[in-house]
Amino acid sequence: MTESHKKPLNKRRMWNILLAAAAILLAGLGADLFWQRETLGLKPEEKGVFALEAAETDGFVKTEDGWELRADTGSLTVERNGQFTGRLSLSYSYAERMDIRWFVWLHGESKPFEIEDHNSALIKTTVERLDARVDRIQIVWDREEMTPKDGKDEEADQEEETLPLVVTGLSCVNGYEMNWHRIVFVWLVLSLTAFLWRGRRWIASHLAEGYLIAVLHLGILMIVLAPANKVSWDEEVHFFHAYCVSWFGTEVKTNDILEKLFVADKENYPYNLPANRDERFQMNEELNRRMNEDAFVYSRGHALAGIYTPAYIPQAVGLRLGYLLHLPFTMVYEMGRLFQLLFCASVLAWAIHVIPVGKGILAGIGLLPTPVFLMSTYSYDAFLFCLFALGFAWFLKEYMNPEKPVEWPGFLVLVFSFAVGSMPKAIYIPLILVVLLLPQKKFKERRQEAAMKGLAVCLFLVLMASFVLPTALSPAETNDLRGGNTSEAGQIPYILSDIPRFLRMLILSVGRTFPAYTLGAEVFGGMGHVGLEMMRTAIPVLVFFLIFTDEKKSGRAQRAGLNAPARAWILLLCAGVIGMVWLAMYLAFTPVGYDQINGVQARYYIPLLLPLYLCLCPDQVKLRMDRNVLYPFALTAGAAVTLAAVVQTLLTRCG
Amino acid sequence: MPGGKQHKIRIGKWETVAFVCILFWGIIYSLVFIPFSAPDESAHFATAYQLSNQILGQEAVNEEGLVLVREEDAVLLSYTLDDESYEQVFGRFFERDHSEERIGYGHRPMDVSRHAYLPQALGITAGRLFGLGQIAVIYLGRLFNLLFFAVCAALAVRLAPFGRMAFLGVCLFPMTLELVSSLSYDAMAIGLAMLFTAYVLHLAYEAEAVKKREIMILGLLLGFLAPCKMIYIPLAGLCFLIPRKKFGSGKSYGLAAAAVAFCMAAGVVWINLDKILVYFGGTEEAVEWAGGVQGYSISYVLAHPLDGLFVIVNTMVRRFPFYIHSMTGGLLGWMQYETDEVLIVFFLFWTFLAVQPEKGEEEKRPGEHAQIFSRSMLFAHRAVSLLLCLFTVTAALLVMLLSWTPLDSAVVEGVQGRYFLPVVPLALLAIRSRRIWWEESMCGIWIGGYSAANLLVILNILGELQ
Repeated sequence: MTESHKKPLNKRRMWNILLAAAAILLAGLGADLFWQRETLGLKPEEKGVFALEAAETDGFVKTEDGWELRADTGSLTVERNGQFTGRLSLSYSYAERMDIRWFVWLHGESKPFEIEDHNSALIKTTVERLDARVDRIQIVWDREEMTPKDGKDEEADQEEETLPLVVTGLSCVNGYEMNWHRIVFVWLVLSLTAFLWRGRRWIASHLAEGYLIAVLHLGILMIVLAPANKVSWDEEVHFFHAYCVSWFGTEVKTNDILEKLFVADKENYPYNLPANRDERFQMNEELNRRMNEDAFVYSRGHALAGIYTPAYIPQAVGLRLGYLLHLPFTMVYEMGRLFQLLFCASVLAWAIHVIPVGKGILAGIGLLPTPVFLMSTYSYDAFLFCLFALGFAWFLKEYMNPEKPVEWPGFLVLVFSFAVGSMPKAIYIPLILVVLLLPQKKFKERRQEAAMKGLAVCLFLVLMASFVLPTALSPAETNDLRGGNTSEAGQIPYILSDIPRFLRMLILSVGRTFPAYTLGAEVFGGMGHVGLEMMRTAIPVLVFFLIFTDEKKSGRAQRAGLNAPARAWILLLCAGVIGMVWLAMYLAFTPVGYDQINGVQARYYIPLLLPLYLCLCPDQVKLRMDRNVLYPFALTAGAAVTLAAVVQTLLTRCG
Repeated sequence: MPGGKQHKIRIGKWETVAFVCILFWGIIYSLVFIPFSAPDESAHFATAYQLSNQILGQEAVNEEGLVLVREEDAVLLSYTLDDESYEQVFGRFFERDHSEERIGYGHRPMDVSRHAYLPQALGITAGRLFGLGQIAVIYLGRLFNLLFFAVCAALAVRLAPFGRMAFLGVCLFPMTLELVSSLSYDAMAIGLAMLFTAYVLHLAYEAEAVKKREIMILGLLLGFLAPCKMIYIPLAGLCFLIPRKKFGSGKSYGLAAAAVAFCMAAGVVWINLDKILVYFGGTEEAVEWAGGVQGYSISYVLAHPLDGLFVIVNTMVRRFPFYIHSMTGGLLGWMQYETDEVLIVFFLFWTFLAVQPEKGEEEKRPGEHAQIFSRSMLFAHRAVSLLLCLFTVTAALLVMLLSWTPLDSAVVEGVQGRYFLPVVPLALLAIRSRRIWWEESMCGIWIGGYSAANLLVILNILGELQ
């Protein structure tokens, strides 16, 4: 009887899903048409590609190849007299990154608006999408602005100043061209919205699965919209390591363009990213062409990534699969990002499933821009954060269920989540010592307790030794050059010469940044080189809301929260890690003798946030909210903030 | 009655906590924000010093109108917070005065009612009588100002029939603490406004009857508050929250209203008559800070009421986030020390939580009026309170429109969020939820949260100075 009732219902539901999917597909296409409605409404004679002549030039000389810039500054002015101008395309020959400014007088306007145009060295045609009737356009060059300020010697700079710059063509392209980036964006946003709305009751009881679906939507969106270029923090280094690991078992061979992508060179410069679909296609074509044509003549030996290797395995698997499928290089690059996303999202979803309290907090912050961005780019930070979340979730599961004896499989998940997670950044390993909080009655016998806790302590000591011993025994004479005149060997005696001064500096540095680095846009609103500290008010409001509404106690009696000594111990461990992070950056990234600590970024706090939130928020302050509302809200609010960030930073580069 | 005893103990605890907290954090802020680092503090010092001269029976100003001070009190102090300033201040903290003559100080006294500087002046006078040096004298002036505020705030917390955290929370905002621990007369304005608000609510919700003594206190409070800053006059409307029947008869009610209004008007007219005449004089004044361009005047606003209304509404809409930010403490010192946005959000979030009622709050109140303690204000009272807050904001904007805004400006210039602090407790009580309440008393947790956040504000400021 029940079955017979279910069948037609399921069929109807299936039809509903299919109809919704069709509607979403059509909406994506419709949205793209709507976005380009100006070009669709053009008269036939206005459509097509029109070569443009500069009405006025300054600093340029007309040659056989085009207009050559012979002065330090130059400009080209094009009169359009109110004609429709869709995409303005400027081709040039220049061996460096090119930074120019466009001044556009819209039809009937007396003042122009300005566009700053930063072009990668990989493209040779810059495109600006105007889609408006325009009176005049002026394009301005200034060699001073185009000179790279990246610390090269003066001689090299002078050489670059004299690089020939020739504008080879200027044209206007009026016509509709399908923009797959935008269409995919609309599909994913609508599909996520439909899921969060229609599935809100299901999410209330399946938060981990709901989180996984939501984060995959957002992560895939970021992967699709981000170019195959350095966009995240130190992404070139992480890509290099992932590439090396992907050749596991064979000699690591590279070619010219790969070597360029392993450093923040002109081909990979993060602030000259493609500004729109046309430039993105050009960049992809150029990367794929050079990847195919450049010979693999460089050898990196049988290099892995040392102690960092585990953190790069997901990306490496993606890269390897890309080679096997013979995908174009830009897609192989995205495969690495995709596998990183799949791995990290799955681990975090597992953590959300396991954790007895703070599920909403973990799901909410796990959907904010920085965590999703780190999962969707080459990085080991996401690996560390997700495994630490799993380790801490498992610890809470054990701690908050004092009646159930601890089993070896679960315990190994707990300690190895911390240990493997902290391999790329061993400075976080002290957090493994939370296992010492497990009460004696959790263990079947004293030997088991000694063995389990002993294992955790051993892992702690080994990983601590991996970075403490080299620094203590043979401090480096020169460290990270990006920090300036850095030297562990010089900095350590400086600290020891006046310890109170260093402690004062440390306390003030930590205290000054603590709110921003634990709750603010600095920690959750940054997206590497494409966006910095977005949504300064929305993010703390959301995080506070999640902290004060989520469950902090577990069990039927709602009594099994973290007690005061446990909180104190966890806070002590977190304080130790924070102190070591600042100390490490003072040693490795701050010039010797400086009175401030450079280089500490908010994202370094991400692995510590869940323990900090749970320990610092008093149990009494709890806004009781129904899970049917809270969990869907956590996902929706987190996703909304991240989508807004994606629109602000990545979608605008794909128009 | 056992309930009554318990009631007394609880109230005593709250006001003591409020007094100690405000005093503790006020002293910390006073030490971090050294003399003259608060807005216009050097001018406040001059004004308080003038009153001190008058208290001591000395000549207050010289022929040029400059305040006469001891020679060593005229030493210029830095407005900025840095190592050098701290050394200058704390290195001279215990110095004694060796001045041989009195000289003109670099400031004329401010055009503000003198009674607003009485606590500061008493402190300065005490310091001078003991022969203390400049820094100690300034700190004594600050301490007396802080003590006056802490007493007012503690009394407000004592008298408030509900929502005590609305008063205490606002007192622990960084901006409030910075102001009340300086020589600013805002300490008196905020303190008296809070005390007046709490007293009216006490009379409206708690008192059995309103007699002559209560009417006299109301009149005195308004008579001292309104002249401090005329923009707080709308708060007088709160008196209408007191039920008429508590006055005994309609005649008594009318007489009481007239008496209170007279006290307030007398205070305002006696002290601020010259200002009122300037506003209503109809002359179109030049705005000095904007290079002498023409500013708004009463006659212009009356002739173009829609223009004035547009500018005020436009200001409320566009500057609302700035007012909230600066009111809480987003910009400290001379608005050059920015507090982290997260801390501002925390203060607002925490205050919103803290003002919510405790479960059974009404049951803890004995007496026949227990039934009206429905954890919050009556709906009509909420509406009136919000309206009065809106009037106060409008009054602040109107005053600055007429005195500080160039005619071509689309927003009112010169208004800062701190001007609204005195009405924030009232606004918080008016928007207090009926659906959210706390299961248990959490005074300690709220204070702990405010204290932790204030500690981070201090570290934030000191860390930036590195």
